[in-house]
Amino acid sequence: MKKFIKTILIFALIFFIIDKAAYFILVKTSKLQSDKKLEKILEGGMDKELIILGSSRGIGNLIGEQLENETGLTTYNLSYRGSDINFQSYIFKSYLLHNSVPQDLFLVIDNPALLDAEPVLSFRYDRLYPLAHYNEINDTLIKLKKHSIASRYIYCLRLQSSQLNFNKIKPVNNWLIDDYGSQILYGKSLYITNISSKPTDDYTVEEDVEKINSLNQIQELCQEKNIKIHYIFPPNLSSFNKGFLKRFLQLVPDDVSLFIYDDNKSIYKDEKYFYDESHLNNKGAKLFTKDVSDFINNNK
Amino acid sequence: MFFNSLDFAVFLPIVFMLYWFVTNKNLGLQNALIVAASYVFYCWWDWRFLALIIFSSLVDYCIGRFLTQEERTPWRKLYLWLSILVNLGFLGFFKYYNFFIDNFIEAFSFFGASIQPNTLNIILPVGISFYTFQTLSYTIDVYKRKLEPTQDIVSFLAFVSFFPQLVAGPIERATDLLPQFYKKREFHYSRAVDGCRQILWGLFKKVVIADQCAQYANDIFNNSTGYSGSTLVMGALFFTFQIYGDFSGYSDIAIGTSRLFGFDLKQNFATPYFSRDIAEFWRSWHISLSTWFRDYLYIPLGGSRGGTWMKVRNTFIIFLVSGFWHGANWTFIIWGLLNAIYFLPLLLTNRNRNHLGVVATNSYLPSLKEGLSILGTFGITVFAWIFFRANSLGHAMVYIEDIFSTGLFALPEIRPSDLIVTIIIFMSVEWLGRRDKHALENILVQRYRVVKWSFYLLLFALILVYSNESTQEFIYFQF
Repeated sequence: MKKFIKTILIFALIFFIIDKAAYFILVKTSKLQSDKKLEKILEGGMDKELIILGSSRGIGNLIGEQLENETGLTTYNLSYRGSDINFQSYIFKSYLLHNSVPQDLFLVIDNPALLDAEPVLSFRYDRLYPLAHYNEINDTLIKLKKHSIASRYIYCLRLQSSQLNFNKIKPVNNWLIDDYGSQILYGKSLYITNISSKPTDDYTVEEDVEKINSLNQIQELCQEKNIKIHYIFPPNLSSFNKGFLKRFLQLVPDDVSLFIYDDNKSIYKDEKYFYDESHLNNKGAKLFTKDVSDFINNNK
Repeated sequence: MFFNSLDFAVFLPIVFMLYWFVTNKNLGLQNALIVAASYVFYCWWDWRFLALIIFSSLVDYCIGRFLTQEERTPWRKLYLWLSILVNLGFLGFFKYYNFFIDNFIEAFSFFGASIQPNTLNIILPVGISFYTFQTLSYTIDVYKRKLEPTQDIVSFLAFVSFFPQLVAGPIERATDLLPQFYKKREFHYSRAVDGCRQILWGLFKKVVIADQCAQYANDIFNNSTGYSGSTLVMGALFFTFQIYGDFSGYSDIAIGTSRLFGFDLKQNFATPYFSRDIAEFWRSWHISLSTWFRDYLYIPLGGSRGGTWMKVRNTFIIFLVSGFWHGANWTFIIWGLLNAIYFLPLLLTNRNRNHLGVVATNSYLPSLKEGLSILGTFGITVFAWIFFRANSLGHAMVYIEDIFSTGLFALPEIRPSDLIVTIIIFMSVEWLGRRDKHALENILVQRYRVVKWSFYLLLFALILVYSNESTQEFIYFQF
């Protein structure tokens, strides 16, 4: 029995030492990511006056550099494609934890999917996994039940199998994230469908309480830190959901700063400014960003 | 509690330490610890069904006692039937009630009669199919006077609930396992180390092979209409390795864990995908279930002793019952039927016992003939697994039709090269260990410690890395 226990302990000890190599794999693979936004947040020192939170409609429709030039506010786009409000709230909290408090926040609203319990948009765990060598990220993954509590001590438990492949991760469709965090879409998708210019009042989605809480948390943090929050409704070639807007207005204060694209403008009805029915291309994004800049400048 | 969980990684060393350091002086106490640990292990999943195991154990324990005292045949038969009724009654209610109700309703509606459905929302107690067969084997063996009924209730409770094999086998016979509870267990270093090796290999099969294959198999089977024929073939192949890795992995962990406590369980898998015909496949796949059906169903039905008709009938019965044992769905029954059809030509031409030894015993590689036989058997097995995995018979039929309708020879849309290479390496290790009770029993054992341990450390690291993505329960828990 003594021999057995000794063997097991020696095995465990050797493994514990070798396991530390997994830390270097984690660090190396984090460098291979094309999207380094979260790492920048964690490293601190971004210190922007205006930050943007949102999903693909935030990252592609608002051009950070243009906003900075037009508003005079240092800007960074912290939007993530496919991210839900829970993830956006998480990013915002992390930003505040490591960086100075911004003056303004743009929250780009996904109409009507913002509070939808159906996973149309999701928490981007895939952005957290490559940074699991940061204890803070690992603790978040533990809290979210994506990592075992033992991962605090064993680095192998922080690795994903995909990280054993040391190839550089290319951005989706080679759409690069620029120095201001924006990811502009060029050209036009092959499939533009579901085009309808008529607004609809039909909002019958089952809402996720956690997502409502995340929206409230963002608002509370802004109030607490004296950050001016602006809710941005980006253009949509498919129908604008008025029912959702009505519901959304119940969740925000009456004196809310709200920017809704002007659906009377012909550009927001013209396919050539859209990549697909709900995302602008580079031409559309420039015009929309200009509209938003004007809105901010007029409300300064 | 799952074997591939942190809970089990904490539970096992605690029980091990208590077993060998606290209760080791007293056999009764050691058995009581096994019962307590087994009940905790089971309650981790759902405490409500613990009463069912205890009740089932007590019924069979008492019937065993009655059978000792009773000499009159009609009474003995009555006791036996009582045990069968109680055990199969529970199994029938929890596993098959809704299936029969649904099928009755469908049958009546076919003839124009409308019946109000009266199905219940029944949770299937984990492991019921396994421990029911284990307790039944006890009563039947006592009835047949092959086994002395036990007087020791703690040993009996431990035999029924022994945690390593409680929820998914191997299904142990009372004649093999129960006597091990009467004897003082000795700790043997080599046996314990071999047990650890088997646990390691079992975890690798489950976490690295089965769970990775499951991701692709689930995607392809759940969206089968959108994929080309070649991708659907890949889906069937992924499921083939998933089910093998999952179930044989569980068995390896169960057997290895038992060895740590000084028990020997039956080998449940003997590299079935290297079988040269379907008869050999069934001698090496889920051996404990196949032999259970052989001894408690096939032989009592007359086995192969009668004429051709009798042999054919009995073969069909055991394959159909075996299919039905897996689940209350026509897909399992058709899977059983298909295997019976595969088996029939071998039976009728007396070639069902042609391959009793291990393939390529004296060589590294199989001969061309053996290789072709293995490929052929593997192919028909993969085909049968489609029925096993499909959600319904209709789904299975459409899946098969779609395989042949478009793009059978096109490049599959899903072809994860990392996983395919891992499966090839895995099957190569299995091939090297085909003569042994588990793949790692002798591989590298005689090599330098540094080589051997490097391999084990690599396996262990891979298990941990892949366990981050492993969320799949063991497939056989649902049976």
